[in-house]
Amino acid sequence: MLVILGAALYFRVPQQLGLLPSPQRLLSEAPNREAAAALKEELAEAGIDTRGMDIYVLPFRDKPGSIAYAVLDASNGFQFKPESRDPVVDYFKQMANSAAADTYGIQRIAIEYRSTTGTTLLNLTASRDTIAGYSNGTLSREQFLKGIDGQANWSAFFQEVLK
Amino acid sequence: MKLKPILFIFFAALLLFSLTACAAEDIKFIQDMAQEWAKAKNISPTNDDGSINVGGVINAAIDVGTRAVGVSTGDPEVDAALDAKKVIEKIKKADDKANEGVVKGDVNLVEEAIALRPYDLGYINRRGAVYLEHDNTEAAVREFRDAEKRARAQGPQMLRAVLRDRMRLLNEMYLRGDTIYLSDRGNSAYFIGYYCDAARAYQQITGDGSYWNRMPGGGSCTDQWLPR
Repeated sequence: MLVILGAALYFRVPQQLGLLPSPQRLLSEAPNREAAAALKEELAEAGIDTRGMDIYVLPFRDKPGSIAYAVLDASNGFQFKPESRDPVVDYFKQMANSAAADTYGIQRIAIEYRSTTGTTLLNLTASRDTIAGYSNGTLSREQFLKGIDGQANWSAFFQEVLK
Repeated sequence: MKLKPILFIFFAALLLFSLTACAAEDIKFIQDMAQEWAKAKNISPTNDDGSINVGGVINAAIDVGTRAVGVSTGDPEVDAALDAKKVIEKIKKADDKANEGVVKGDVNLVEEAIALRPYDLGYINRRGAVYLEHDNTEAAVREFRDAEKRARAQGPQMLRAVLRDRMRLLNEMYLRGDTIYLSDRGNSAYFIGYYCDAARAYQQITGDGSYWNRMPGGGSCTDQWLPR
């Protein structure tokens, strides 16, 4: 009985039956491709190699604004800029401070990093306000990190270390 | 005589080494970021000295477990952002099919994308684009109008997004040379006529004249380009 209950919860059966709200329902069915292209173009103009980088801008369904979701996929040729010592935070800042983020009402940014095998290692998200706070010095590094939500694939990290 | 193969192997090995080194450095960046973040949130499974952080392991297990069964973080936007991975995987799969359909002029591929994501109006635009490539203007206009009508019902933000997507699509088609299919009607002149017509409609609805003023291939649209 417990196994069945666990499986039902794992496969999100209550959400699929509409008994519990699915987080995806907050988002519109169609992505804003124009906003994604503008954001990617701006990153390229800033000297960032956008190979292996996919950006999706997902508008909220019932309110203005959207989420920008960037996939940095090393299995598709993505590499961080060699001169950056804090690349994930730099990407957060670059996207949050972009003109496209203002133009298209992007309110939250998510970054997913995939390894050379295509495995997701890290998935982080922060509001633009949090990122802006850290950029302009009103938030400390500690406060900024606490304001980030996400998931780390620890078992995949250990496998990468053992390689 | 044998110098060339040796040089080839040497440079291939050098390239492989540098790529592996880059990938390893990137993994290190990600790992450091993950550990710093997890430490701030008290969900790191290890301490600074590499020993097991029991409290962090328990917190991380609770965090992973609750997320796996869909328990909310308390912030619907955060939930949506973390769950967006599933949405974008579907989008990518369908996008790849639809874009391949436009490049190859194959409406069946676009139909497959529509079947995967029937509510995504971008694919209706792409089906219209493929019809346009095949000189089936009537069907193309029907698709574009359908996308417009459905977008309008979802509000001004969606209408603008769908119209911009259509203009970008037409631009890309022209620059890529997809208009070669339109040979029997004067090739690109016919396509430019359609492009300018769409750009005018876009300007009338959004007030943005940038597409009208920037024809693909250079110059600005004028009334003389419009289809009669």
